[in-house]
Amino acid sequence: MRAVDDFSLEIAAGEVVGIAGPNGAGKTTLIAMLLGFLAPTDGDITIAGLAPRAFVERFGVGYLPELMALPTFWRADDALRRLAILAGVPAAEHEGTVTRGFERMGLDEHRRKRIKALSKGNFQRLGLAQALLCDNDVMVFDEPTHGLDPLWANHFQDIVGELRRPGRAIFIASHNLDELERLCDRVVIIDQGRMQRVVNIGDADVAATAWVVRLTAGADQLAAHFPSCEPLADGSWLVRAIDLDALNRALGAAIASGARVTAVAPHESSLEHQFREAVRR
Amino acid sequence: MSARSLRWMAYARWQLLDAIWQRLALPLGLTALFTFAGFYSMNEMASGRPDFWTTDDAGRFTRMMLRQAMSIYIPLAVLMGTNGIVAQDRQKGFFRFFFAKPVPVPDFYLSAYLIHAALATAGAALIAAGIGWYSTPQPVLATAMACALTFALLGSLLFLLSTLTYQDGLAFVIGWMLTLTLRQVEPALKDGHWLHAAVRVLPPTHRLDAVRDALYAGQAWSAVDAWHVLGYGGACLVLGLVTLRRLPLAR
Repeated sequence: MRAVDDFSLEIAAGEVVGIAGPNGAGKTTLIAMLLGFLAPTDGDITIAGLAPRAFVERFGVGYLPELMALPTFWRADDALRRLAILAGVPAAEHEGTVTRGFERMGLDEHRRKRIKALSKGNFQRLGLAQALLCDNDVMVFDEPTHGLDPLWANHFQDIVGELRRPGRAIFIASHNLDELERLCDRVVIIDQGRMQRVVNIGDADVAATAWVVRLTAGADQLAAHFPSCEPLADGSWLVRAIDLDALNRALGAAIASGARVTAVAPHESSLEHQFREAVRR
Repeated sequence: MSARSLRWMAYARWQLLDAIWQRLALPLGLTALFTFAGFYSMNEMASGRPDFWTTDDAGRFTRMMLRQAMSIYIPLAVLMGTNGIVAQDRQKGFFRFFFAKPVPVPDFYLSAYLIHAALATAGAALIAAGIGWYSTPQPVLATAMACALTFALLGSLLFLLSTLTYQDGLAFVIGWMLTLTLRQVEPALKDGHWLHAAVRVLPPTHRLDAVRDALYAGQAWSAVDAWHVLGYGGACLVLGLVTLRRLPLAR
């Protein structure tokens, strides 16, 4: 069985690229190959011109695996110390790096706990802390917000924002399309091991064809200009337009005739739409 | 000293602590308990003979105790020292954390293996020295050599198996039993039987036993046997390192 097949992708330095796909689509296998933990039976993977293992052994990669697994008897701070040594943090900077890691991830009060005593979310944050130990040029996050509460899931967005820099490539695998849409420049959709399509996030809203409109008044005027509009359960309206120009023209006419619009948003993001199309079976 | 060497030395400290607490504490503790029980019983039995510990009987008893203690300690230290040394990290997924860092996989495990081997050997020497201190002096160096040779042969074999399969302990026990069985039947085989060739590639446990017996008895040991054991163990270790270099960890 081929877990990944016919997959070709180039990620430029400075880019944040996401990968989305249903369960078993091949995301984690792809990451395992990217880090040299698995070898492709055919084809090549290179990072900055080097084979994955050669690159990792030389420079390291900031990596958060999907499956968080460290020896459970280790203490959280010892785990980070050990991984800091392996990451090549100079001895004089170990303590400072470890302390900053705990502070950054809000884990200060848990640093002397054994790993088995950490909650799922705290363990995930420890995983993030170890991935951020070094200033790596390649960062790979596999389901980075899995198990995180909404606050920390949002905070991850800030972290990726801080990590963005020219010369650094960031690769994020996630089931969470909203998250990918917020974080990435491009999202690769993979299904059954094959790359289905690449979505440029900048073009996302432009491609939407259904929109949610909120009104304080003028539902009749809206309906007059969007004959197929439908009321939604939350009191807003679903309208369809073939493109942005058509949407703006019809909205303008509705407003001119008395509709009071408070918000307009895509009904589903282009990424969501394209994802559904790409993995339709 | 290079940054890489310093890094290894820094991490070796953690490997050393893991080796002591996770792998060697139990063999050492059990052997100490066994030895204490043996000497305690002998003390009770010899309570009417205040000069007992200066007699030849005491010397013979102490030598026997050392051999029995080593027959417990060495297999346990080797088995616990190397069982799962690679397989556990692969099976449980720890490797994903270790080897996303700039760490060559063979270097990491070679370091762990050498630390375990050195500690196991030091443990054997410690037991021999402890027994000798309590009773009559014992061959500390010879005991350490017996342990080191055993680790070199069986520890390396287990290391190799650990790079190849998650079921390294089971594979080792099956291989061990197969070796004992085939060595037992080999003398009864006719010349030219294909099993003779098979037996030749099995671990040279008979040579290891011969060298160990000579070491415990304080007799001259065969350098050829010792080199054979070291050569076989060295080949297993190198094969294990090549496996780590050539085969991906998540296979």
